[in-house]
Amino acid sequence: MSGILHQFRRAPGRILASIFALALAVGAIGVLAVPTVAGGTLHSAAERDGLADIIVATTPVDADQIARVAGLDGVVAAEGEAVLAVQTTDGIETDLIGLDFDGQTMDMLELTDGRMPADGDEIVTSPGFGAVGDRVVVDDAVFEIVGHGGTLWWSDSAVAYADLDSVIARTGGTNRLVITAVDDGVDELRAIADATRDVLADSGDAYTEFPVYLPAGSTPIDADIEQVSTLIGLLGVVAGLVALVLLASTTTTLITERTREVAVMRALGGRARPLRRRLRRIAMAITAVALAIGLPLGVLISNLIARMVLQEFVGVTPDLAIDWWVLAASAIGALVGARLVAARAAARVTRLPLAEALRDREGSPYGRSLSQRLAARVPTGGLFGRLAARASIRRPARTVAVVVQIAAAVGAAFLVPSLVTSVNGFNDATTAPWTWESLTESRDPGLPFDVAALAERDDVEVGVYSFGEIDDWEVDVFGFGPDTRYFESELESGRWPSAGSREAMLSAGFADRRGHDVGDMITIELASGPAEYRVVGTADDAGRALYVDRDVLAIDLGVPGGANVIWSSDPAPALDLPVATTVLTADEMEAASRAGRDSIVLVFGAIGVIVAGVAALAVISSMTVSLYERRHELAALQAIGARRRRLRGLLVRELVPIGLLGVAGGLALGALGTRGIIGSFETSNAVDIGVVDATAAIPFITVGTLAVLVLLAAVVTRSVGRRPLAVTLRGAA
Amino acid sequence: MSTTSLLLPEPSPVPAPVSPSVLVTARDLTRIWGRGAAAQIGISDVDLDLRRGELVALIGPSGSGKSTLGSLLAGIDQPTSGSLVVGGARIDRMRPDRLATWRGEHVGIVFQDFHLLPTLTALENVELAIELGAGRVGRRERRARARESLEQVGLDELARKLPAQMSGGEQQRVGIARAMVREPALLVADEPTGSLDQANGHEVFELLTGLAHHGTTIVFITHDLALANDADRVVAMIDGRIESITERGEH
Repeated sequence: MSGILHQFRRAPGRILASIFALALAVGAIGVLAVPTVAGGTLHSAAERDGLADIIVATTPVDADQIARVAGLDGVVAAEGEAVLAVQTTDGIETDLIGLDFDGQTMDMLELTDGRMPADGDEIVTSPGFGAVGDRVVVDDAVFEIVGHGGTLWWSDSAVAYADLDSVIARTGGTNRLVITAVDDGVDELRAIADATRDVLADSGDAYTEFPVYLPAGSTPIDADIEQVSTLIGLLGVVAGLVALVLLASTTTTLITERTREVAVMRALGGRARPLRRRLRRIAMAITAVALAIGLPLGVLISNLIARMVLQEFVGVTPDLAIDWWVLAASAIGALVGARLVAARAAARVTRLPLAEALRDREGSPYGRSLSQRLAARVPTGGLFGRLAARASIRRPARTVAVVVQIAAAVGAAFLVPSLVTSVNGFNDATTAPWTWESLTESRDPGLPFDVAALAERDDVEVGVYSFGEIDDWEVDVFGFGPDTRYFESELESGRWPSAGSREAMLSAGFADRRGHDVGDMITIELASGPAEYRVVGTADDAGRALYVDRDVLAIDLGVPGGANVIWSSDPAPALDLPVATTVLTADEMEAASRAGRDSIVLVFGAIGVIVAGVAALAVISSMTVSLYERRHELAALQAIGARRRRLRGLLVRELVPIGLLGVAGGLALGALGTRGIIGSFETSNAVDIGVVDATAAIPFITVGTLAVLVLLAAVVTRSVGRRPLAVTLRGAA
Repeated sequence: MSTTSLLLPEPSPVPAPVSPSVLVTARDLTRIWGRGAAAQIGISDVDLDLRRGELVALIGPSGSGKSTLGSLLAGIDQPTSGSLVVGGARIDRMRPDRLATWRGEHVGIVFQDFHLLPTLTALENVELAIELGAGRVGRRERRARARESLEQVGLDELARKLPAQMSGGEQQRVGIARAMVREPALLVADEPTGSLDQANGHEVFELLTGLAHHGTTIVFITHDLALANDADRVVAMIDGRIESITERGEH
């Protein structure tokens, strides 16, 4: 401890800067804990809420049918809920969720304030719906808000929860079935869902949507979290890389600058082994102090980002959580890394020829290696240019470290906008084939629109939109009428399906990844069960979709002549429909897409800023230490007449080539990282996303990096001049 | 106290050089580091005139203030109080950048620890002094002058050697070549022979003596009384003050 205190007294500013930078680097590794923290919150919420294993919308069913489902093999419990699309008098479209507050075991409502509804005219709502005590008119009925709360399933929507019976009175039965299974494996859940479908079919009922399976305790957004985790993990790896480089450079410097001191001790009879041990201890102590600050910082960073992710994407506010594995790995990694680097540096310092070590303050005479001697033989450029170039050659490890640090910062700075532009490109490609100005969707499940009733309208086109599964991949299924006008995708191969046939067109990227070709028969699992189509074409649409004949699809879904979407060239078409609907205009969709992109930019921008900030700090720390080591050299330059402008120029000449190398490496790193992430997304989603490099950001990143380095040179030059030259030259450190 | 002194700040006691032959005039020169109880006095109330072309030896025990005085004369440190005029320039009031330019134009410094730029060859180290000196000098001329300077110190054959490839004596001669290449009015050598053996020390001293004969004022800080006895004047310091000034022949 006395060693570190002594070291601290020698150079408090530098030690503090090193500790802080190292701590921040360790803290940044905390982003690796984000997926665990976020996932842990979701899974504890799922457990608390009693999230079901199978969730499926159905036609209205009664208690007897639910009891029969509950009696199926492998079913622990089956419960009915009622969901009704409603509109308040304020024009807010919402869902009224009917729950059996007294008897249910799944989808438990978690109150944040107020109380549970006691009567049919009382509701609990999401926060922001209204204050406790407010009265809300919903579809002509008056409800009083008695509390705020929610369930994990509905956490991303503003909904109202009411007593089950009061909602059933409007829906005619429960229309949402939740099931918990004895064995929650995927195959077991599918078997139960099939058996349940058969039970419902016996009484003329059916699924109105494709069932949601949540196997092995998963949550509805596990897949999203996994994708987000991939991104965060990559940035965490970059942060870890920067932390390692910083750790290495800081540790090496702390030891190397004691070269002369160690030489004096050796000259006085000190043995190399105890000296090396002492040097290692100092490095370890500094790392330990950095860890003491960095680990709590990492916990804070991971929780802040997890909170941002969950609030933005799920609407859940997580509790404080700690990923002990990441914490322990960071600590062990930093200590082991410091030990290894310190051992190497200490060995070098104690093995230097004694006479040389005693003579040279910096512990690194120039001209020992062939490359240094060769560089001295190349008198190109001005004297200051040579000084700058040879300073970089003098300490190649540090130069490489600074290049790597700059590359890491630039890589993170380039990766984030490249991801954003790629996601933007993908979104644009996804919406590009659609030419409608408004999309009217039924808010009730099923196919409640009558195709025949709207057949004569020129300004609208009625269609079917559903979910299905092909090869266990969820796909969007679109049913178009003959000669659709609102979907104009380029054909990648084959042709469009013929009207009234069991032919289908498949997304080209999905078809390619799953090995489906034109002419193949494919089976799609629909809410109503499996259906077979022949692939006759592939569409260049960037999605994972199946396009079929509307009427054939409606028959497959059990509602011949039915539909659930209406595309129109009119932003506000006049429609007289029997059910509640949602109208989405093209502008609104664009705005929603933009909001989604903004969320992504926010979350990954925050992580990118942390990584880039850590890397920038690391660069500053390395450069500051490097310049500290060269203080005699810089003072000598000043003593023979160099003004600060000259010193600044010298440092700029040194830093700019290093910066440009770092920028080049960073851009390559960012481009590779983007391709890696997008590639993993493409594989894990079986779609074509495509990489769009944010080339517009390159000038900003380059200029920004160089500006920071020039600024750093200016700041360092200013600080160099603070101490009287005579004192520096005399070596009174 | 006069009426004038109530209205105007007291004029600083800077006398004009006594005669054109005086290069350096120091009056009440004081350098203190730190404040209060922790204050450390480097030199105190030093008055000193140095003539052009004379070789002055500054002697005294360790901590007597000779290096501090040398640093002030060379303009690499600034006094806490007092005045210092060198060649008509009031250097005690100069801002750091102006002082750097002044050093480049008028002063040569030889350090005990040489302070050569380790990444530059001997020739480049000397060239650097020309580059930082007064006026623009072309690359060819700069190189020729640097070579000439190295020849004068007998190191022309080592021009392309790096400092780490030279002995201490050779490095110090490069330091002298660097200091004299600009033909400065004042050359301050802080224990230039301190790191050298006797033979090398004498060689260095001979070089400096030769410079003084060419009109450069040399301030030579040393512990070596034998060398000091060959100086034109010997300034003996003790406890931050000038104890005595002895002319040649009075030694």
